[in-house]
Order: sequence, then C-alpha cells, then structure tokens
Amino acid sequence: MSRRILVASASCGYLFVALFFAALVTCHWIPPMAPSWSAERVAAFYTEHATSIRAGLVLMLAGAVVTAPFVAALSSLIRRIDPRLAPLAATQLVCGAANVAAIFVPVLLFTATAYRPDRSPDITMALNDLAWITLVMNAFPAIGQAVVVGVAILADKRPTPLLPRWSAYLNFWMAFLFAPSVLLTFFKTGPFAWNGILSFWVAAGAFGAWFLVMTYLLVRAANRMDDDRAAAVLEPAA
Amino acid sequence: MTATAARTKHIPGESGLWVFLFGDMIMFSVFFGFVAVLHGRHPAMFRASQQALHPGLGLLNTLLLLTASALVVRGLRHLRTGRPARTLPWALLCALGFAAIKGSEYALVIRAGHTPSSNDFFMYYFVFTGIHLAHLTIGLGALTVLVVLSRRPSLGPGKLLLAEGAAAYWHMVDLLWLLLFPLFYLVA
Repeated sequence: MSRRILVASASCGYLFVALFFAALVTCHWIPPMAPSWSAERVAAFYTEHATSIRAGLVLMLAGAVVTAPFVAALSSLIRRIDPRLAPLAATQLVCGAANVAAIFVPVLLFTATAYRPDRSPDITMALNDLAWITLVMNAFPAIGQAVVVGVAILADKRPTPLLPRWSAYLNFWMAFLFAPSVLLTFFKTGPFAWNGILSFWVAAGAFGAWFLVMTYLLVRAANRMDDDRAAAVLEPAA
Repeated sequence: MTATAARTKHIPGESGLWVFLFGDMIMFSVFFGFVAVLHGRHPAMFRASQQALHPGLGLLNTLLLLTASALVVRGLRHLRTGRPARTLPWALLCALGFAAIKGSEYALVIRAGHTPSSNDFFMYYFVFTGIHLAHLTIGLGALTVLVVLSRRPSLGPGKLLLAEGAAAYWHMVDLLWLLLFPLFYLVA
C-alpha cells in the first residue's frame, strides 16, 4: 500500500468536515430550520435565502464525495490491522457508501425545494420535511460504521495497536450519540425534533468530531506503516 | 497484597473503556437536565403525569438492580481469587426480571392511555427509560460474558480485565437507574 495515497485519502476527512460546516453556514442552517414552522414561514425562508441555500448545497454535495476516500482509507487500515478482518472492512465500506448517499440524496431534495420557492407554500413545506428527515434520520449506517470500526480496533493484537484502544470505545460512544436522531419521526418540538439538541446538535456534533478524531488517528497510523512498494516497481521487467 | 501494590492505582477493566462509560454518563446527565428543566417549568403537569407511573414496580426494579450489582461484586471477587463464582447467574436473572417488570409497566402506562406523544413528561419517561433499557439489554450480554468466564477453571490477566470491564459496565447501568428512578417516580 502506498503510504502517500493512504495519508491523502485519510486527510479527506478534514476536507469533508470543512465543506459540510461551510455548507451549513452558507445555507443559514445554524441553527437549523424548525419542524414547527408554518408553511408560510418555510416558503419565506426559501424565498429570502434562495441563492445562498443553492450555493451551500453544492458545497455539501462536494463534501459527500470526499467522504469516499476517507472511508476507503479506513477500510484499508482495518485490513492492515489483520487481513482476517476483511468482513469488518467490507461492512465499514458499505456503511460508508450508504453515508455518501445519506448526504447526496437529501442535498438533491433540498435543491429541488429551493428550486421554485414561489410555488404553493404547502408543497415547499412537504419537500422541506422530506429533505430534513432524509438528512437527519440517517443514523444507522453511521452507527454500523462506528461499531464495526470499534470492533476492528479491539481485534488489533499488536503491543502498540495501529489505532489506540481508547478510540474503539470512543467509536462505541459515538454510535450511541448518533442514535437519538431516529426518534425525530415522533416529534416536531423538543430535543428529539430534527432541529433538537439530541437529534441535531449532539448527533451532528458527534458525527463531525468522529471524522476529525478518526482522520487524525488514521493519518498518524499511516505514518507508522511501511510504504511497501509493489514487486513490479522494485524489480522492473527485464 | 503488599502495601506497595495496595497503594498503586487500579482502574477496573481496561482504561479505554472509561472513555465510553464517562461519555455515556455525560449523555445521561444531559437527559437528567431535560427532566429537571421540565419539572421546574411545569410542576403541576409533571406531578399529574407522575401519578400514572407505578412507583412500587419502580422500587422493585431498583432493588433488583442493587441485588444484581451486589451479586456481581461478590462474583468478581471470587473470579479474582479463583473460587467458583456461583452468584453470577443470579445477577443475570435479576437483570431479566428488571426487563420483564419494565415491559409490564410500559404496558400498564400505555393501556391507561399515556404514550410518548401525550406530553413532555411521558416523552422523556418513555425515551430516557427506553434508552436505559437498551443499555440494560447490552448489560445482559456483559453479564452473560461474566457467567461464561466464571465457568472456566482460572482466568488469565486478559480475561480478568474483560470480566472487570463487563462488571464496570453493569454497575453503570445500575447507577443510571438509581438516578432515573427518583427523577421520574419520586420528585414531587
């Protein structure tokens, strides 16, 4: 595995957090819109901020794509911990791919919502609900990812594991923090609504923190590993 | 144990586990904060809703968890000294009893017409005790690990660390209920 490629892929985690946060700010979604808003207020929000929302969504779309190399780097590292952990590496990759979709799809729904803010407010509200629920209620792939990564870290039998053991337990905790967002389906106000402290602020904060910590640890682990060049590079064909 | 060994600090389980345990407890502290704020803002609604709960069942569950914790402490002491830890299956039974009683109480409360969408009290009651029940379910796994380990003739340092970690997790489940119980059932 090329160490440089691994470090570059892992570092995309930083880029994702930067793009995603920039997108939230650009869209005027900090704090996020509330599910308790009336249809008129939702429509007025899209009318007022149409251009910045459209621009912010393009940033978020780019952010979704740069999670791919990060996820691939994480799976490569899991295989490096122990090749027998291949099913864990694959599960992580599948969940990571689902996460790309979990950002991609709502962003396109938001884009459609912001496309014609002058339409009937009821329709804008329905589309807005659809987009927010799709964006926030996607905890399960991330939970799967965190649990699988945690298990893989604990399976490392090296005296100094490639990823520190405390980070396994951090992953398990993060899985727990992502979970409350699935409750948004039941509430329109309070801590479990899609703009709530537990569904949005804690879950989104944990998601961002998870990316930052895992990116840092991945890059550190990559720098410890050998750059094992392929035999073809070492021994050019005669 | 020599005096020197007694003075060195011993963290039960592997130290990394405490990242999870403390993290989890921080999260539950936030939950407790929500309940306290609700009680401060709507004391009358809080008291009226509280009447629908069954403090007798809550107290019984508290006793079951305390008993389970005591049995785990005893069982772990026996595991450390290599004696047979016969108390551990009983701890598992107590935990199962807690889950059965909690389920029955949910059924009683729901049959009386109260659901998570009735008001904020019931939203917090169902969600927070439900999250606790999810923790307890994982705790059943931890207790099962302890029971399985207790069947081995002797434990190496690695397995003992695992047993300590499982016990520490279980005690956290117990501790969280000890705070949830008065908060929902007793605060007037």
